[in-house]
Amino acid sequence: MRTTRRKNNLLAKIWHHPQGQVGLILAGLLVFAAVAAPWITPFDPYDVTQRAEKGLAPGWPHLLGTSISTGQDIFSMLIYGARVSLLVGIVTGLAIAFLGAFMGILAGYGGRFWDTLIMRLVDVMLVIPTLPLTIVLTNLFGKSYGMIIFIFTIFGWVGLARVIRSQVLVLKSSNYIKAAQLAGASRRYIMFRHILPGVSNLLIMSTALTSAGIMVAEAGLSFLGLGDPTAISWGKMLAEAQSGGALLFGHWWWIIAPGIGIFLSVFAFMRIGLALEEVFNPRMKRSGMLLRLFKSINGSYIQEVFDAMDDRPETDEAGKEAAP
Amino acid sequence: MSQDALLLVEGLKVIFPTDAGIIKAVEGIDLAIHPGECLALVGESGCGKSVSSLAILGLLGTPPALVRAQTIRFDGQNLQALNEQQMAQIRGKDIAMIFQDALTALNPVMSIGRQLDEVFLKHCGMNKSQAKEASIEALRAVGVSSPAQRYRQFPHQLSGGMRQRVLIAMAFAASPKLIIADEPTTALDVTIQMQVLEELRAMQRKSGTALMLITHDLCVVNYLADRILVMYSGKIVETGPVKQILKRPAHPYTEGLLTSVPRLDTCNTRFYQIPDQVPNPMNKPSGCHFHPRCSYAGELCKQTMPSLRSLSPQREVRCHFPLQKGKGGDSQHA
Amino acid sequence: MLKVENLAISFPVKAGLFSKRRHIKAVRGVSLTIQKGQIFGLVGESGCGKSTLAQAVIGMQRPTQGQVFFKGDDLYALSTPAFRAARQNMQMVFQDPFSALNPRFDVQRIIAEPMHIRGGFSGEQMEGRVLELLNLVGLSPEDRHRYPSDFSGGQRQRIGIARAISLHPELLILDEPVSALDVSVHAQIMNLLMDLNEELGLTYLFISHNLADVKDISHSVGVMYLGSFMEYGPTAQVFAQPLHPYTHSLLAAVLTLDQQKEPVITRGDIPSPIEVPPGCSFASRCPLAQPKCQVETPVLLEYRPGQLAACHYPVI
Repeated sequence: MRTTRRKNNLLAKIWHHPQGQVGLILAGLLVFAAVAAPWITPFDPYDVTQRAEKGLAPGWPHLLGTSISTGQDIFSMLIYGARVSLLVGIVTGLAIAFLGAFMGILAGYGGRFWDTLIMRLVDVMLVIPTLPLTIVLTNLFGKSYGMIIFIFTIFGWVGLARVIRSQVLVLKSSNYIKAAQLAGASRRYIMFRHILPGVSNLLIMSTALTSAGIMVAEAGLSFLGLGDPTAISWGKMLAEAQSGGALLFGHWWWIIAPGIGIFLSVFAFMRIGLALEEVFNPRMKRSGMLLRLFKSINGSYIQEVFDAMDDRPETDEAGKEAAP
Repeated sequence: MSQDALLLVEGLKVIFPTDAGIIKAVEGIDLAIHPGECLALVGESGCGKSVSSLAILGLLGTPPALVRAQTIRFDGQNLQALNEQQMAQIRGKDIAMIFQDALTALNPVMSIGRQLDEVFLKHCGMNKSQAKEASIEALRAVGVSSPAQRYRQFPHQLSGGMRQRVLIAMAFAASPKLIIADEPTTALDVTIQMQVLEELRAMQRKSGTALMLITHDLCVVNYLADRILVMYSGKIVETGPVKQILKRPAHPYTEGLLTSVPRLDTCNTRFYQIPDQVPNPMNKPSGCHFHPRCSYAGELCKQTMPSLRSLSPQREVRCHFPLQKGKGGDSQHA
Repeated sequence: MLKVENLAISFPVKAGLFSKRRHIKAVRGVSLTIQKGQIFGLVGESGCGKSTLAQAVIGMQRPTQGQVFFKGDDLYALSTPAFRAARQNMQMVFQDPFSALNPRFDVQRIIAEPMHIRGGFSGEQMEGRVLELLNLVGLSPEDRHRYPSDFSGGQRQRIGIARAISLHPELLILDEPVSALDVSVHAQIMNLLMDLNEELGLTYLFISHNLADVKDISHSVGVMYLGSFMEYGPTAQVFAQPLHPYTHSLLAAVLTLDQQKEPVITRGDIPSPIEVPPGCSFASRCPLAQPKCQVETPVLLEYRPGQLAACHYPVI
């Protein structure tokens, strides 16, 4: 019960944070678009029968025109593309959070054996070149987004684990943990009741920021053709636009549309992540929130506060009596 | 009195606006330090003494703080009119600072010799070899053993007492007119504290530098300072010569502080305690800030904040019923 | 209640390939006894090993040599369940009120945590006990829903004390419990501790570098320097007529408000615990040192009834 109370406060805090508000609204719109795609798009880009004339310019009913290569409605493709980005981004973000947290806590608190083992593993994984490996794996096991999520997770947990481990090491030296140990707490108790909540701030923040990063990476992979060839994604749209001659024919809308999509989704999650960071670590000097607070303060009210501090001239009896 | 003052501050006020309310850290204080004098600013945590020194030096950024002062004059110059660059110039050369925690005040990746050299290079116009000589001599002067070896060492290799001595050496290096020391020996052991304090006092008297000592430890004040300013909850409640105030305090809070100091010569079965807590800086009591904890408080104390009044040519107190020879208030306490 | 015999704790220092294996001798041959209901003051400056000794007493630091007897049992020789049970009977109050409490837990949870961990208490029982404890330490019942960040240092220390006594421990170890507090709060907490000792019959191991605190609260005192006791005995005696020159220098170096004479300055720095000099560890700084002091290590001898000093030339 106590933890939910704090979580509610968290959402409210992000909402009140101006950057966070923007992020939440945008993210909300994107999620809505992704989920409601079949109902809000004028055409179904997967339906071959709904293809129209190729290479139409933006107008009605094709708000963003149609693709040169296949005649699909670009606007509908844009909406459907959100599905892939958000799915891959958020699922991978969460998976990395779980795996990274687990490994980080185990390394930080589980004893020297686990610490050494996991840190060596981290060192090894950092050296492996991810892109060539991705190409090889997708060729071997098929190009699907599940594959991509899997690969991102396998490589992505490493950075988070290191950061979490540092935080765990700091927490470990806290006296309240010593007190719990003295009272007879088992390792598991301390890991779940003290350490995990202690890193939860870091986790939530990093999930948001990681998701943003994953979305860009996914777009890149899709652009290279490593994603599911049957699904519609923004990266793939960009690839098609390039190969279909959008630049050549001046169909800038075909390129800009998915570009904006990628940009907005990353922007939204980064804003949420940054708002979370400021909410968790209110840093007085550089916080934009504080500057805004300052600008909004009523100048005359401040003057009143200052004036109220002055000594008043002698009017009371005790004053006259005590003076030499 | 204020004519020949080296540092003159009048009406200093500092507040920190937050979305939960306004923190009134400093509520209009005046202070004056004369050349060669040692002034102690005494109070517990939260009373505003550290904030005051930071405000005088221009080290409080404007978010998060708002500073107003009628006068801040140092050596004839109006500090409030200077820009950051000019202030930085004064801060190194004419006013030096000694902070409490030497570890954070010193650069951990630079040898202490180099850090000392920097002071000489920047503010005394020496060249590198002159600076090195001066640094080693400065280390010797503060009682650091084997100064030539220590010159090459790094802060973490030195003990706490040594580090504090290095800070003192750095502060005196450019022969400043004023040194502001914020709790310089609080973190040190008893025997080391004595050594450091003795060095500080010797150097101060020899060089004639004025010293503003900020501390909560009355025993250190007794040893080092000439005059004392007692602060409580943002306001100055008593001022005067150290010896007089420590013998006969006029403000109940000062009396409480003095009695709270644990003494080795007497044997207590109980410690004297001032009841309750220091007031919340956002929500201060009405009238005199001290009245909820004051055993001499009267009705007037709850309603009106007393003004700072002179008790004698050298002493001032902010109290409706000061404790002094039965003047005013209850005759039970005199 | 608590008996420590010949305790020695050494930590190895990481040595390079070619240098000799070196050790930090944090504690060197310490013995002490605390009777039930008594308060023992452990005094010493930083680096003397008092915190390490405390860690050994609560079972967090296995001694390199020597034994810790708690209520007659050799602590480190106990089986695991017995060890856990013994440790639940002793609790610790820490120096830093800020890191001693989990900022995410509310006060109720913090104080009830030892009960929660031990198990076997119903929710009602725990709540009742928490209210009882809050009252005992001078906090109000509404405070149990607040979080540590709402409280001042002194109040947090009270919460820490409440947590420490929640399981009715018999031994309480206080590691510099008031050093980080302001003067006025300092006194409040000291009074609280004294009251609890009287009312609940608790036994304390009170560690501090502040001589005045130790003097007023403890029944017996041990003065530690570089890992071993220099002087040991009933507080009143030791403070009134100290035997050991180090005790003298500690007392003389304390600043008081009415300075009749200048405080005596003891020159020099504390030697390193890695390179412990032969003979008496205080010899390098002792104003009374003779050649014998740097050769032969003095043993704790009873120079007066009940009062021991480790010195060849104690001040009688």
